[in-house]
Amino acid sequence: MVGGFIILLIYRVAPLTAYWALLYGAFGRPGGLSETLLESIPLMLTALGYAVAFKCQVFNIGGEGQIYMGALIGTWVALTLPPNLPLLLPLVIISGCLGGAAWGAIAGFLRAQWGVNIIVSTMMMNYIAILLVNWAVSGPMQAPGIVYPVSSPLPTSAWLPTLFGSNLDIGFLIGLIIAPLLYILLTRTVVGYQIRAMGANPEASRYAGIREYRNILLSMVISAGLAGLAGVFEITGRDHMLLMSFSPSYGYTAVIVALVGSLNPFGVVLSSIFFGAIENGASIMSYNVGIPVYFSSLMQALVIFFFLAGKSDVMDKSGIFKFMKRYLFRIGGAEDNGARRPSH
Amino acid sequence: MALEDLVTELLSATIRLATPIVIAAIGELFAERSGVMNLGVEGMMLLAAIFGLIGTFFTQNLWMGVLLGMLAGGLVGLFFAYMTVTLRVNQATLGIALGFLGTGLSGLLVYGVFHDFEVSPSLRFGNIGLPVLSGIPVLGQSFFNQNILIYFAYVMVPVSAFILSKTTFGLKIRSVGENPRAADSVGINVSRIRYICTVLGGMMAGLAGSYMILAYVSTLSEDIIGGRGWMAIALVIFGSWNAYYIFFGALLFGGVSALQISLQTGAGSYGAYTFLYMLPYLVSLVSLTVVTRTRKIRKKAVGPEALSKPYIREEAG
Repeated sequence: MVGGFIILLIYRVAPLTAYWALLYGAFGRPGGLSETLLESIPLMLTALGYAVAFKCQVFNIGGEGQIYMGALIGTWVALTLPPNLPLLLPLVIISGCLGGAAWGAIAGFLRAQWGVNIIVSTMMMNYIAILLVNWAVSGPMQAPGIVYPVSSPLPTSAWLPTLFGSNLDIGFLIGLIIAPLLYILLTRTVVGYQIRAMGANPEASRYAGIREYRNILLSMVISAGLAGLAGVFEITGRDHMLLMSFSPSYGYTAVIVALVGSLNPFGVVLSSIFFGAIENGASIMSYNVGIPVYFSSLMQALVIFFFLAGKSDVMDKSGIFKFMKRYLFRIGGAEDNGARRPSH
Repeated sequence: MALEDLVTELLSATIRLATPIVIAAIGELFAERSGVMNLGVEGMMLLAAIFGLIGTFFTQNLWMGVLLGMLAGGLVGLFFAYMTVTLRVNQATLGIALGFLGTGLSGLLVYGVFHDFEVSPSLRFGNIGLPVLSGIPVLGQSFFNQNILIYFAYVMVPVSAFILSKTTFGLKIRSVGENPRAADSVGINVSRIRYICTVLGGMMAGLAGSYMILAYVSTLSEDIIGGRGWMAIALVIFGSWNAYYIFFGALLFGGVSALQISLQTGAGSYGAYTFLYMLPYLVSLVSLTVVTRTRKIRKKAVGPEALSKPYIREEAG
């Protein structure tokens, strides 16, 4: 990740002021840091989910849809149950998580049972989920008397508490807690081992008796559940109501976040903050310097491309990259790039 | 409205809707047959649409727009080939990254630089009725009174099928896709074939993108491709990597979309609307599932053997 970042800086031609505005927006200005971290929450959670799935070579890119479904179910629960119900918030959160997990499980089932290409299927599910939410907030869940496609606001008992009186909700903390848990899951449990084994060499794993079916489903459920969590956190922590298109492609950006984080939970956390900073800073940058907001997409694109190139086997031969690989990519430990040469 | 007219309209719309998917899918077919699974089609199409618009806007010439769009697609294809064949980056990850970032980057261009660019309605690919064929009732009007890009698609399907199955070049492609090591041992340059096919795929995606902006709608929006790139990918699988099946599959997808549009005008609340929008995606998903399952049951391989596997020359056996 670091290597990619450095290459990125070397090759960028943008003027220094633009960058300064980015950094300022992301960290410098009051509320900047919390905004950045706020942006990073859905990225972090979803990307953590992706990390699990991708490690198993289950290329779930349905995060966006799973986020929407999580938000949808969560909102529905929050609005249906009585507001003064004790434990309302935890119920809402769990239901959102399950909602996302169920959505992902559909695609997971299709893959496990019939071998349907998971990338295309999750992609289709994304579109469907977004449309479902659109339908919900324009129809059955629309706030009474309001013209906009939004749901009724959530009762305050279903709001995610914030940290230290800032805007930042505890979703961030939860993400930070989940990351090491996932790490432990992946590295120290049997399940985690199986997931990694399947990712590294599916045939060998099958031969060794690892149950492909179960693991595919499991990784999808975990992955989608985390995305659903991200979705419900967005609603309970930030918007406090369900809107159409509430996610600025978090689910898609999270793919990049996960890859740049080398599918390692800790790397993902860092990566999500990095990308959160880019997103946040870019919008400020557009105020100050006049560069359109989508500049962030461009930056993200460059980061990922250089990162992927840097990780390629072939580049080992060239001197500089060998150096960088040795010292800078140690942080990652990526296993998602297929076979590695035995001589390493 | 007479039933005849209704059916004609529907068929006509089906063709118009199916064409971009067909074009992109045929391109993807070539790439996949050579073993490269390019998932960035959606992003390529979007970029091509933008460049197509730019090209046409500045030169006021439709063909320049098409050319520019194809060029854009081809360049991205080249990039993909480089990353995938030479650098051996994981195809799936790169494809996903490319797909999304093509979309994001295009968002940048659309809203940042080129917003409100529009090709005047008069500058679009008009319909050309083919002389004798368009006289045929119903079928004639719908199939043979379309614009030239669509006719190109008609031609491309059998031509591609022919190339792949009957020519030496096609044989090379297929062998590279099924067993690159064997192909290499006979002297076929695996990298070159894969490069060519990927770039070709990119150019086709580019063509499809240009079609969207130059023959389908005339305003650029973030959503203009609307998942068609992904449908094209699904279509290749659905069509079992066969050009003719792909064509019929596209007609199916197009038909569903056409149906959705015509039903939409009749539907009441916004609610019903949305479910109709979902139809194309649902159909894609379901058809994909059915085909994959059927192939598995019949124990046929799902796709070229070497699909998505980078070819490493130095590795033994």
